[in-house]
Amino acid sequence: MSRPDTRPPLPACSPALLTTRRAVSVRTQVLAVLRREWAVERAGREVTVTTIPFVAAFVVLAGLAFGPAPLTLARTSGGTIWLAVLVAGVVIARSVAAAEVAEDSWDVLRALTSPGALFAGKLLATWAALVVTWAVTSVAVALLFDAPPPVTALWAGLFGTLALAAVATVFGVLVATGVRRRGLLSALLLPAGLPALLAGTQLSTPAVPAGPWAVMMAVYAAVLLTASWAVFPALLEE
Amino acid sequence: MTGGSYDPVPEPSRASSLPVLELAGVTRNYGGRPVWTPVDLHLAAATTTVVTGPNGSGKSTLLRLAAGLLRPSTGVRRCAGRALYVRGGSGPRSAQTVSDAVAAVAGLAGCRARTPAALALVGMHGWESRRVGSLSAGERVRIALAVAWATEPAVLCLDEPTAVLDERGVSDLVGVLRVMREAGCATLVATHQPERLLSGADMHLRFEARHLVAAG
Amino acid sequence: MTDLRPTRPRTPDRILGLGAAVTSTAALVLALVVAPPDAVQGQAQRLMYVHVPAAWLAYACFATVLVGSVAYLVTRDLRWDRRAQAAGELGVGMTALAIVVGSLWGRPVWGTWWVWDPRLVTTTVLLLVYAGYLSVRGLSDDRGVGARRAAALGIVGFVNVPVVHFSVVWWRTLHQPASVLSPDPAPMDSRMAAALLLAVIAFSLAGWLVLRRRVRQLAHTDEAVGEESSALPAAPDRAPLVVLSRSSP
Repeated sequence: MSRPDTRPPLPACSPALLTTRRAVSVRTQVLAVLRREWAVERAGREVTVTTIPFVAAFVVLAGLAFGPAPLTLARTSGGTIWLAVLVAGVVIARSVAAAEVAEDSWDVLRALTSPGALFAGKLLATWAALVVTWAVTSVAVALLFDAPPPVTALWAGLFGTLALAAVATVFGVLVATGVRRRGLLSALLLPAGLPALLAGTQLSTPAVPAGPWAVMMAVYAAVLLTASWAVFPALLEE
Repeated sequence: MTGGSYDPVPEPSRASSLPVLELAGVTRNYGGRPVWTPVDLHLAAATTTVVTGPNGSGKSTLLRLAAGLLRPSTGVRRCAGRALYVRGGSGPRSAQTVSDAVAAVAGLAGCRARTPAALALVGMHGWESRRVGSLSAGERVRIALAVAWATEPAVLCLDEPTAVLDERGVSDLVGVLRVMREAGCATLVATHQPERLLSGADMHLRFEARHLVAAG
Repeated sequence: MTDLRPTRPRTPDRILGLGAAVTSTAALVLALVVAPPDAVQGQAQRLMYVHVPAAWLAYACFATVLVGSVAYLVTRDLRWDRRAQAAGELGVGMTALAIVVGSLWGRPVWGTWWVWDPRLVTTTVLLLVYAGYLSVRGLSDDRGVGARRAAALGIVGFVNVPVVHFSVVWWRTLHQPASVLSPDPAPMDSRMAAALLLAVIAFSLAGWLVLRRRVRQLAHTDEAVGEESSALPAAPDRAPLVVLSRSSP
């Protein structure tokens, strides 16, 4: 049964040749990760039932804290939206990998998908959750604060949430795969989200010159997306 | 086996002689100390290997290293194909149904269509619409085995699957291992109850005084 | 049992220590005796001779963290991680010092402990980011895992800093011109400039010395717990265990 092997060694990380019947493209893997995220959310509504009531309560309490003077409410509307999205981002980041690590399915995800595909799939799912959160918050603020946001708010909603999704994905995985100090997530995520808060607030406030802030938000998203993508594979190693 | 083309299903004689997994001088440090002496291990396709050893001897570490989940502190791991690690009693606890949960994971490997057959293989036919969160630990092992079969790994590392299985569960596990072996998979099983598994195994490895040795 | 006490100072350390001592003494004399008090700010201005070098050293340390983090992820050599960790620790200390001293200076000069100035906000965010950088090392017991997580954060945290800074600059200019801390158009007294330059050199030399000694101490710790070498000898029989398929299972 046991004898010295004289055959040449296999190439390191060689492509699947023996028992793996199918080579799965990265695009297919990304879609499969996304589809799985959607299926898990549809079945359990974890993010929906934790985030939507949270931002609703946040907006009502912010109105009570800053109001009822209409002028003050109008001035604080943009900040309220982005503060709510940023704080909700912590809740969403916790759902990126925490449950999967707890139930060991994180190992299966790591084994079956490439790091890039896993990052992209998780990023897109997190982005979708943040966009929905932003949209719900914006509508709630527009109604309760009687402060309809300018069109430029859409740009912020798109790129600000993308940037936050990138750091939420990285920090969510980083903290979830640790064995302690899970509470660090908010301490890591909130400072990193400062540009989203500032640019998002300005872009959501009427009569503020939008040009520089729009560029800032796009640059911020590009920088965080690139850095997060670059470091993500290192977080999957144990 | 050169170039980009290869047989979709390995030829038995060739599959049984090529190593799908090779660990060369591999160790892993915990708290700064290696768990065991450097391990040199070659697993051919279509094999079942049982690993035993006392608690804390490093069985799980070996399996996680073999599956590529842990980075070796020293040595090199080479693997021709996909490797999967499954811990006994673990598995999804989401609100998904059994069928959806297995299909979602199998979909990652492009094997979604194998879900019904996988569930039938592990004796979960008829359980498709049950929620995975409500399953027992033994039933979770079956789900994990279904995922393992559906995703067609080259190397499967099963960590203590027998601990939570009843008598019938162990029999079914033996059957699944045989099917995996016939499909060309190299399986490593760590267990404290090797008796039932050894008859179908190609090798029994044991940790003795921090060395991995062939038993028997 | 490895001796964890710092070893005897090496020659570069002695040179650095001597240089730091000489420049510090000279800077102290220049800053406290030779340089005149500021015409407007009075004696409080002398805090600048600590505040500016501390901030400079902190930024240099955080740049070192970035270099160490990238180099560690590329090479997986723990020496880079130790450099990054030591720089992170010193950087956090220096950032805290710069903020506290700046605040002490701000109270008599501005009449407030804090203003929403871009540099202040950016420096405070830096403190938060790098405090997090040091904290993530405790997430896991595995040395390599901690190093990889910290390196990831060291990179993401650093690349975000310019964006944070410019966003606060623009935010500030929106509400009022950033005049309070903008560079003073009046030329600085040459004695003040000399004191400040010497203080920056003194901080740099002392910081370098601290980094070198801390890196060595971390290396001793890693050696003591065996991260650097595998202590177990190889098994006597090194023939590989080969599992082949039996013809009839």
